[in-house]
Amino acid sequence: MSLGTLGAILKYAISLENTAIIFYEKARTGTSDQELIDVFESLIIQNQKSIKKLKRTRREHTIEMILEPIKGLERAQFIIKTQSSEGSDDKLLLVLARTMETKIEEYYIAVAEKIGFLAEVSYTFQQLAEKHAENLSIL
Amino acid sequence: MTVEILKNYINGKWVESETEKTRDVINPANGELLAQTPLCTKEEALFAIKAAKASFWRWRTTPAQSRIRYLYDFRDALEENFDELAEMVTLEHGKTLDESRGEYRRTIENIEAATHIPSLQMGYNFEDIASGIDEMVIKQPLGVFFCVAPFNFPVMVPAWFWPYAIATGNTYIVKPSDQCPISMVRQFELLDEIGFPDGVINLLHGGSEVVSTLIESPDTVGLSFVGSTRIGKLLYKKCGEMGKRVQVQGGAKNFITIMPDADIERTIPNIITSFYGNTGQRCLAGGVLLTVGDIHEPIKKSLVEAAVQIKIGKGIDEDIHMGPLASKSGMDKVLSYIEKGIEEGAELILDGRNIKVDGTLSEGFFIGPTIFDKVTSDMVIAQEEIFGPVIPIINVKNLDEAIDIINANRYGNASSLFTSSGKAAREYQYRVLAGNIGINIGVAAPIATFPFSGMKDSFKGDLHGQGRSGIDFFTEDKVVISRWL
Repeated sequence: MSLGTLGAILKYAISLENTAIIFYEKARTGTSDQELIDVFESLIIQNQKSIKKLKRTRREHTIEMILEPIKGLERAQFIIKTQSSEGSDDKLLLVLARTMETKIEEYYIAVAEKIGFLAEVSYTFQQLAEKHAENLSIL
Repeated sequence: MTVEILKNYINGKWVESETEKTRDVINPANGELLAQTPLCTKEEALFAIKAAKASFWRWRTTPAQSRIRYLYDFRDALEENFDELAEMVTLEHGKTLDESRGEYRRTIENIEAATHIPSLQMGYNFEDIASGIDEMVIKQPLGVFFCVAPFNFPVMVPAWFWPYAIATGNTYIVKPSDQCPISMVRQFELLDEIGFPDGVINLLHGGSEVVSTLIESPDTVGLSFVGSTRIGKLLYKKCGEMGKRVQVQGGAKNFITIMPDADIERTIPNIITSFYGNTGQRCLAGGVLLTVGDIHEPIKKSLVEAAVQIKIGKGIDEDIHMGPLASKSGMDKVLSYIEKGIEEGAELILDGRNIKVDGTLSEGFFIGPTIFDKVTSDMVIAQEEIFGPVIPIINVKNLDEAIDIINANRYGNASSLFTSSGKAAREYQYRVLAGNIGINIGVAAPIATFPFSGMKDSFKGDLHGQGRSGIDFFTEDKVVISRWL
């Protein structure tokens, strides 16, 4: 399904962040490695901040009545996987987390490019892409 | 099924109307009955005026900083409830969620602008204007003001007026649209929670009887109106007779001109937004597209390609680009203009009639993007406000011909030029008789700190809403001349 409006793009971004939070919440209870628990907890806080940023963007930057269709963004390209049939050991949790963060970063980069005509919103997505790149670096 | 009859908010209390006359509030996306607006009585209008008048002096003597703190609280309440409030506008009006969010952002911007009152309402003085004489101007509030609001921006338009009125020390009565009143009711619930002093800000539903009472009362000072030119002129005349201050924003027919040197790729999205945003129900919406010279064919082709990609549907779905018209009568009016265009010989190159939503003909009031080519300036669709998603295109020889057509039209709300020539841009802003000029801007909507202008039959009055004009409208300049020897 296409993501063809600013509202749809932001809603999907919020849903990705929420999915990531749920994953990290579950992951922190599924490991006994304190270092990993700390990492997951910091990522939960980081993604909660991202949601706030996205909601603020939705409130503040839908000033123009944007009608021009945004083309080439499909939900199917950016679906994230938070479970594995191979189990849930620490190594697997990390693989899932890295794949998920990469996918979210890709989404933000793609959106930032597509909505270049809304400079402020595009900048927000660039910043969020950088945040998820940072997330990846600590995983 | 019991349908709620909306209440008035007068003197800090929710009050049921005693009238038996009501108007249905319909969800235009599916025809569902949402509520009923009471068409209140003369006595109820007098009661609201009495409450607003009684609270005036106490409010007027409240320090400006204290007055605006209520507005800060209200702004915060709007931010906190933003998503819910935007959905409510979509529900009763039909516009998309993004458009409702845009409307609320503009609403909030006006409230923020009104909090600048300690600077904006400041007078001025001069020492020794004559020998030993000092002179100063004080900007004083006047009393009870009121607005009569339209359906197309049910929350933003009242916010062009009431925050400035009460920030400057007046008291106020909002008469919301009787077609889309629910969002204003919700705003008043938030105002009530904040605890504005009783009577400072009041909500009064109604129709012509209420409006006449508000104008005829010796206890009201002025009216702000946004709606049709026909009604606006009647109210303007009546206000003149009664010695009221008045600002009337009427209809519009906004001409958008595209010069041969315009950047087509950047222009098309602007044109689409201008004509089809809010389903064409904006007083700043594009009304006629004037293509200059050879750019006509490439613009026409790109426009049709872009228009067919617009997704029509219920505004509440995030993926939708354009919602329904706000009412059945509005839809019927637009359909009659399309028929008229065909009858007059314009070429219908994109037909938005009988549009299917989710694969079926809908119960809602939908019309898709429509484009007419080979329009001439004497045709009805080039002269009158359609208030729907229709683009009439006229091909003109040069900028002079474009300006002649624009200036011959009775309306003068807005006009835009798309060009890469500074000379053409200056010529346009210099000569075009329209209050809001856009240069490479499709919707020339002034930000809250600037006045929302308008000329000819699009505006009657002396002072516009928003900006410094708005402050002047709600205050009187008192001059004090003093000599202390």
